[in-house]
Amino acid sequence: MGLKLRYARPARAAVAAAVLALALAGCSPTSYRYQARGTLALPAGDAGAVLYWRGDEGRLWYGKAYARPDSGAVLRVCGEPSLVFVAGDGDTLRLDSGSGDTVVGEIRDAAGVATVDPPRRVRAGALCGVVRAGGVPVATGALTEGVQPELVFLCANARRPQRYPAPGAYLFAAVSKSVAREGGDPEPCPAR
Amino acid sequence: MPVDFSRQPRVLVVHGVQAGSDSDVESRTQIRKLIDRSLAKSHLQRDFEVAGFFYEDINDRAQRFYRTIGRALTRGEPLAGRALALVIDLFGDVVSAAADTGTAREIRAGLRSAIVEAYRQRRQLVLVAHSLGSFYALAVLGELMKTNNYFAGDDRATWPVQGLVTLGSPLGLDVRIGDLRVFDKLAIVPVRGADFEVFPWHNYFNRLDPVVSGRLFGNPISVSAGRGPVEKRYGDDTDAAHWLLRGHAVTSGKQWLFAHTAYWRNSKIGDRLVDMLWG
Repeated sequence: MGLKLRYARPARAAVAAAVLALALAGCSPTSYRYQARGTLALPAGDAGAVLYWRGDEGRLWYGKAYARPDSGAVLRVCGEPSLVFVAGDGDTLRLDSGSGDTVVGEIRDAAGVATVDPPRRVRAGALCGVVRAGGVPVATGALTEGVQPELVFLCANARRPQRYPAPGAYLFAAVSKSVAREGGDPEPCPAR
Repeated sequence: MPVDFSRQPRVLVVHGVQAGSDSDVESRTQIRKLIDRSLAKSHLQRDFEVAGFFYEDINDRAQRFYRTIGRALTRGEPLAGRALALVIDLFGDVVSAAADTGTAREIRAGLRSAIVEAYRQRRQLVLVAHSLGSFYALAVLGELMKTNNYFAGDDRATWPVQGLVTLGSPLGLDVRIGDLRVFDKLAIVPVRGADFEVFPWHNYFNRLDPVVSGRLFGNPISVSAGRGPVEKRYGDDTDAAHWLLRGHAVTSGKQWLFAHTAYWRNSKIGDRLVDMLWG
């Protein structure tokens, strides 16, 4: 009887904590992966690339509906380090300049990128690219299944010529969506 | 001893609040996996090292007295004893950092020493810090930037740390425990005389992470333009100091404290580190 009393309260607390933890773990949104494939014109030749991000959809542990995407997206490029698009004003996706980058293009309108000559050295964090759909800069939330993103690049780097594709706009294939699994993030290189 | 960018770079990982000991910390292994996976997916081969800065044993030594008291109070009640030991471990880690105790100073000195050691080896170094570790990382960066020995303007070869990545950071919280201000706002020190280079700080957070939001039950925070609590609290200061603070709201299919530990499996962090090291 003494043992029962001694362990009853902490045991109940442990069970309650375990039930709460199970609820939090089990009643979670589903993680989805969004991706769009394309080809970039790098100085050394064309390279396959894939723009990807994730999003949660479902319900929280207390039942409320919840759907949010990542704020940014990663561009994996075959044979090159990734480029990371982050959320800027209005959550629209932008690519920051890095160390030693120069601006060699500027967006004139929905149609074209004009050459900047001579190239202009910029402080890191300047605009080097955007993601558009229908000619308009977009956030990840607007890149739903079937939408074709257009990636616009504006910079170059003399020390790392392969860092950026030739300035201009690159239309990628339509966004696809699938349930995300660990280790299942996309490969940018074409299947052999 | 300027940094030689052709040498093997190092990623130094600073863990957050932990139970257990230094040997239980797996953060270094997890970051290694993320970078390896990112490189493999892009068909890249690069040589690099991931090192961990471990300080859980330092914290445990400081909490020994309280653990002894805890054991005495809960003698004969093993469940309660274990729960109390865990609370002392986790709560004690946070209080040490907040109160700037001798333990916190010892931890900062150890981290500073690990960074300077890599610099003496002329190696490029990127700092990754999770949770409470981000408080120590930012504090030590400020200490290094205040000296005249490092961070000489646009010459990145004089930068012992090339960039900071924080995961699940509570730096955006302004809370008090009694008179103790937890996560006091740290000073952001400018890189002197830099015209083109900015110090990059990439902060990854989940809207459902209670350590980020301070919301006990993890209800989501609203985010605009990638700005979460850290960006709102530090954004003006980092802009003025010519740092580049970028917030990255990420998702994981997890919520509450499970979201707080899910960063270690987020492939985008591996991609970001690859960009910072070789981009």
